[in-house]
Amino acid sequence: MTRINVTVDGVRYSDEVEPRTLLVQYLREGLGKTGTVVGCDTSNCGACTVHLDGTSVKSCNVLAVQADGHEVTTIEGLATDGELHPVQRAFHETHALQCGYCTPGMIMQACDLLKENADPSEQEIREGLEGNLCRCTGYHNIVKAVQQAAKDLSSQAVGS
Amino acid sequence: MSVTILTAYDERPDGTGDFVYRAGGTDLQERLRTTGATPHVLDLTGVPGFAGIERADAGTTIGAGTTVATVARELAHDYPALALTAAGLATPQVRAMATVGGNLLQRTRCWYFRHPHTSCFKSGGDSCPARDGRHLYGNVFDTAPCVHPHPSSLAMALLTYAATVDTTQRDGLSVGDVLGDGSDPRRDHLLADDEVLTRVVLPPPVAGERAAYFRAISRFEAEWPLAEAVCRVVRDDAGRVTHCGLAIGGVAPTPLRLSAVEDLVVGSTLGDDVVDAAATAATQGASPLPETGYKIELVEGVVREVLERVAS
Repeated sequence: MTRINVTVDGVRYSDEVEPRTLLVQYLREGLGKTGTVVGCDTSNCGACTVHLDGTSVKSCNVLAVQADGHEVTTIEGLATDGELHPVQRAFHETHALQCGYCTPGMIMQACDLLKENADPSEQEIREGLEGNLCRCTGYHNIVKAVQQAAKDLSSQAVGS
Repeated sequence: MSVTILTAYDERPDGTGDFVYRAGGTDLQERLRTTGATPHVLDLTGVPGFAGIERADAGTTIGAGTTVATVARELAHDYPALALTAAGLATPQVRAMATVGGNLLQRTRCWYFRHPHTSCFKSGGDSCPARDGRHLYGNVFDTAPCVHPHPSSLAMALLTYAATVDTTQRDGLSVGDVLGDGSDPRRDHLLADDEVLTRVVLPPPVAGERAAYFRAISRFEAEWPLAEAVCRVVRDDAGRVTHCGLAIGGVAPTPLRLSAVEDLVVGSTLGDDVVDAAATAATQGASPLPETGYKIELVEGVVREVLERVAS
């Protein structure tokens, strides 16, 4: 067992983990953060995307020990004081989900994309989300959601 | 599966038995899940010096554990052919974790190799089932017993820089020394089982280098290349090419540097006639399999694309 100290969604945790434990297993089974889902478990689908020190990664492909000393943000850590994050709200308002299984990963990757590029074109959104698969093929509204979130975040920045 | 987090390259515990090294894990994780293999995993990410880029007058050193995203971001100015290739492979989350060393040493993408119920040269068998079976994504330069191309896009780009590779046992290897020529179909690279790739060394950057990378894929995004090409050129004040590095991937047992095509380009102003001739010359020696003839046109196309991009 190896001790790790990790901050997840703003809360500091110190836990003993097996070195083989994947980050997604630690989040779901260790911390009960089941908002992060397991899709393919082979680093292909992106459903388990979380932020590691602000960069999106597929948590089925990261060992929990690699998060030692780092900060992890999951879909459960995006909302503030009960208010949905603008990207979450945009996904809700534009009906950017069908079965919803890919949604946590899509939202986390969309946040990372908008951090790098605050005003992406449709092409740039599709490229930025290339590592996230939607089996319902609901990409059209997902792109619309990211476009709306970009506008909302931009308005928020202007207003602040 | 058991995992040991290494803090030194030579720290392998006694009695490890069957083991495999792990860097970013983006390929390894998939293979372990799909094949059910349970080797002891030796994780390298904690070894001091495994990741990082160092610049010096003699050249630039890239730690083997440096991520593909870091290469794409930090070397865009000095080594654009390498950076563009890095930015064009895989997906954002994979680029954030996948490493330079892992990209060079990754295993073949062949579906027979990766299927838990088939065997081939590379999984302990004595044949290539793809040769008489399905090989739609196979080689168009059929020069080795295994018909699937080497998957490393970064190796292709490093060929154009004549980069060298250091390991825990040897220094100054060429990319060809590391990958071989495919004649041993059991191997995707020629490093020993207990030999770790530690760094890649690039020559000093060349002022004024222009570069382009392009891959042909069968969907909109996020797919392994059917064929890919990278080109870097330096031109003089009159627009004449004084240096050209051009390589292709996805079509042969290892990425191919096309020296004869480079010779056609050097000295030219990259006019349409030269681009046409270069694209045609890129397919010389092609020997397609029954299902890979379509890649000849793709090779022409990707070479033409990168040359037109560096010319524009």
